[in-house]
Amino acid sequence: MSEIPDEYLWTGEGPPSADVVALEAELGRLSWRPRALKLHADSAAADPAHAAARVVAIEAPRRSSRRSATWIAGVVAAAAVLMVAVWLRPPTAPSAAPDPVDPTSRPISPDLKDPFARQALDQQGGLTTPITDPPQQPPAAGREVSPDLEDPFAGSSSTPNQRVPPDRRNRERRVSPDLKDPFKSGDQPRDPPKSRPSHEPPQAKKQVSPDLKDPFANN
Amino acid sequence: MAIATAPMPVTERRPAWVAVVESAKHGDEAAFERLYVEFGSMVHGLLLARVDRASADDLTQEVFLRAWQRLANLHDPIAWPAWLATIARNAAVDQLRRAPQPGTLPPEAQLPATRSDDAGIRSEAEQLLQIIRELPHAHAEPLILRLVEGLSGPEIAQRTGLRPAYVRVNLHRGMKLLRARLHGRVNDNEGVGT
Repeated sequence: MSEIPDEYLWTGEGPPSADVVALEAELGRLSWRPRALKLHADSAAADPAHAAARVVAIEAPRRSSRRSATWIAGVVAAAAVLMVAVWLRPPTAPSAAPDPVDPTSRPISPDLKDPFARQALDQQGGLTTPITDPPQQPPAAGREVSPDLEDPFAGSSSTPNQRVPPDRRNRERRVSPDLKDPFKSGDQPRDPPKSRPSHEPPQAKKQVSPDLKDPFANN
Repeated sequence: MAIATAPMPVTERRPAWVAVVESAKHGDEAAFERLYVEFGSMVHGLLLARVDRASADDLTQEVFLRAWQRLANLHDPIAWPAWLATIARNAAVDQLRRAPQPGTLPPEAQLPATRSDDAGIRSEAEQLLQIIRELPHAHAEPLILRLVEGLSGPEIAQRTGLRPAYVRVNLHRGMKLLRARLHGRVNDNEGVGT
């Protein structure tokens, strides 16, 4: 290859170089050939198939939106008809069957006994309302109430509590026959020793062990 | 890229295409078509330095379409050549990043043709183009614009927005490298023949 003059390579003028001219002739076949410029790439006028595809693409959402509007209208109409039908429905007659929710409509089994209701009926001769006329509580059968127990609400009660004096209470206390009074001289029963002052609560009384001796007792 | 680092300074004398760019910015399609005719070869040459010929033809249209859509972003019309060249280079890079398809493989990925199928598969022009592509982009671009697109040195500088001296240096260095490659190729062929 010969030396290429710089001026021809730069300006393309002057005495040409053989190899540059050969390269220009060979590579010039790959040069750009202007084509029609499509500035609007989305315009489908030039391509009918593309235009048809675009029409389908545009029509599809329209069709679906139309279908959905029809569907919504149908649902609304059905709901309106249902509401009118419910509103115009004639009132139904009360059924013979008892309302399972109402407990008063249930037949009471004869096996069930309401002790309070029957007692109230027996005592008062009629139905009583639990609020205005509370049924009297039956006494608890077989239940012994300790006389030492005091009713803390007795003061506010209408009936005064008859408290048993401690002397009488001790007298009525049952004494086991096996117990013997070690300080008793004869078979004659003696009065129990004087109890403590009445201001002491009865719960404070303790049974004295027989082994303990009272140093102040008189033999 | 080294080319993009040497933009042409704004000269006092405004080129003729500046008014055309102004008209195109206001929606004048005819003015933009004039720009397309005038700068199409530059865009095609820049694309050809990176992608194959079929892709370059299609991408040239795409580059001008992008430029038309983004023309409002171009504030100074004097920057139109460099702006358009940047769009072209980015379009080529985007094309190479896509999934490899037949005809869109990057030039570096294409297998070099063997001596036996030179005449059958590739034309002489495509072989020469492939040799130029293997050069650095700073040399390949002005060489392709000069030898393929037929632009002179000053035209290359004006249409790419690069300094004329920068283009001249790279054009002559690229030509020197191309000569060396072609000379070595001839020597290889002679060595095989003997």
